[in-house]
Amino acid sequence: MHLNFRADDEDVAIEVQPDGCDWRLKIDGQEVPLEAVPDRNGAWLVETHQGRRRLWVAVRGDERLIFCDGKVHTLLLPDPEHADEAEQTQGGPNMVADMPGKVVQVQVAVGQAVAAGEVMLILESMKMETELVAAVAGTVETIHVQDGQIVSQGDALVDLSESPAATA
Amino acid sequence: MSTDLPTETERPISRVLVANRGEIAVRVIRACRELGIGTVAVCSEVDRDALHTRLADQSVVIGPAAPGESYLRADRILEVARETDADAVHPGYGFLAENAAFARACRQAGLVFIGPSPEVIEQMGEKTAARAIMEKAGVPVVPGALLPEPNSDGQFPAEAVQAVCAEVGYPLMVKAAFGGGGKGMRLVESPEAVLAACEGAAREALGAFGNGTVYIEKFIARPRHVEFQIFGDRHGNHVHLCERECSIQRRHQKIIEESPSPAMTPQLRERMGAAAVAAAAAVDYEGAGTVEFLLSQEGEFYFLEMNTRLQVEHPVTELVTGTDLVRTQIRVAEGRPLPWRQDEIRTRGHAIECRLYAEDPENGFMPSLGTILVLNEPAGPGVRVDSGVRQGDEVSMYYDPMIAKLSLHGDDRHAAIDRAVAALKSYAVLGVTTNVEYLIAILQNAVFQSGELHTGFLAEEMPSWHSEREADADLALAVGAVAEYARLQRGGPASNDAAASAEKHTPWGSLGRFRLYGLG
Repeated sequence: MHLNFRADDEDVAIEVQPDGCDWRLKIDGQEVPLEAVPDRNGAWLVETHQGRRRLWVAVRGDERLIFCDGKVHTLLLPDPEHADEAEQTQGGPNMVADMPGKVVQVQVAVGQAVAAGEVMLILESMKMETELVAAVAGTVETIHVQDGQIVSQGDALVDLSESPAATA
Repeated sequence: MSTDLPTETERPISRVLVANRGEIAVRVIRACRELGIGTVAVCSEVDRDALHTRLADQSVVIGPAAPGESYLRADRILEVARETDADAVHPGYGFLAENAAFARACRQAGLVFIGPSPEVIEQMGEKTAARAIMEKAGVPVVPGALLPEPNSDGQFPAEAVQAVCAEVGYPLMVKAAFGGGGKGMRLVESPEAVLAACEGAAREALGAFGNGTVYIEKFIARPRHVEFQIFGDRHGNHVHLCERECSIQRRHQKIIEESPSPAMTPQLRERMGAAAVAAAAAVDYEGAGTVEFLLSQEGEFYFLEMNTRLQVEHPVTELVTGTDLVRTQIRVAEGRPLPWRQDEIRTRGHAIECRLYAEDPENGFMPSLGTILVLNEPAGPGVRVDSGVRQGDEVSMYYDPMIAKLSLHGDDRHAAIDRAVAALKSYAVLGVTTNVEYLIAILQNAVFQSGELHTGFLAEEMPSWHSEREADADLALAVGAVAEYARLQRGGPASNDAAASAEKHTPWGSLGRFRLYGLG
């Protein structure tokens, strides 16, 4: 995958290729191997020559905030192409609340196979019920909410694992 | 004093209204819970979901965000106390904590105000009256004098002022009699500048405190700020719980505090402690209080002021003395005697407190507002976090930017500093800018580590500080890229709601990602 960032007022082009727990990165054409695994709560564990280090990453709009040993680094996503790409993936397998509301009914169970367009959940917002449907075909992996729960905009609702055919 | 309450007998408290917010409200609520005492939180509209409202047994919204319409509304708070059947009020620090009228109103409403009497709050709030009381009690005060009154145009009588100032000697400080926090304060080096400084300080004091009375004090060069924790009960007992050094200040705002003071010797502690206890006894002080001193390079100390409340930095005292000051405040307010005699109070090891501010040290310490997207609080032996926020919380413009306090206890000062640095390096706060890296820089400064502190330390040692984030920029970039790849693969929210992606996907999100990589 190709990513573009703006860090310290400079544009950086990065190629990211996963390889198990290792990553093959090409930063501005230079090969950079990285051994990194995600930990909970936005944290990443990275093996460096100084030993294992723990960093935290957060998303704020088109900024990526990274905490490393007390210092905070900010990366910007300047590229509109990238934004398009991100836009597409938002319609991807995982469902998040588009607006605050109340979960009226979860209509799927963990492990259940769903077809694209199948209703997974009914959300009540501003006194209107909305049926939320699966964006792609897949299997229900995690349900983050239960009937009657109040959710905020952006809250995760249901995670799907896409059918193998659809996996990148 | 007209009151129907029995003041000499014990009266158990059953429900405390906590008239505050943030970490101190949380601290008080925890102490009450441990004692089996019920709690009522009050909050403003923007604090509806704040941590303190969730920990209390019940919470009541008392008004809009602006403090003047909520946390400072004594009438509303008393109304809530009545409606919720609270029998005591804990004011925390700030807001109404040193408001004598509020303490008096509590008493008149039949509520126990957890703090000293309104009379003592009044006396100590008026700096010149406090000075006079302390002088009389034999507590050393900075040589100084009241200034003659200005005329209606705010101009001071030049000759009279010059005479008074010449007597005290230069350099000197002009200070607001009813002030605090550095407002209405001017340093004057020579007689030519004194009139303008007095007028300026009086103007500032009038604007900030509603009273333009100013006085002058001899300026003590490069002093340490050393304060003593004192405690009194209704039975005539007064003790001190040793000192805290709070010399690391920026514009009179404390940032790092520690106990013991690196300058302390047993002899000096004996003398300063005795003065602090004398100060407490002079006003028959009840509850927790602090006697602030300036300690000169020559080892002379001078009474600065008395704070009639629990201090922000009380944890360092708790850590080195092994006490619980909030619990004791409540017990004393119930009429019980102090749990310790002076000869039972000792310090062990060294404690340091770092105040986490949501502000940008690289940008004039501007408050930083926004949502806390990621919050990782450090933990471990000797690590204490007093926090008023949790992940997902909003830091709003209405309140003090201090979001948490990190307090460390170690065998000695070096161990405490090492512990502080390590803890701060894992105190991840993303979404609002904080002073975490700045705190680390202070702790790693050679002069700080030497213990040669004075209140001008920050201005002298770190006049313009800049992050050294270039050091790890490549690592951060690489991890940022990998995390972005994982996020896009996962199909997380594309933008502007990382709170959801950071919090709501935990722990399942990360497990999912893990597996995804395995599949390649």
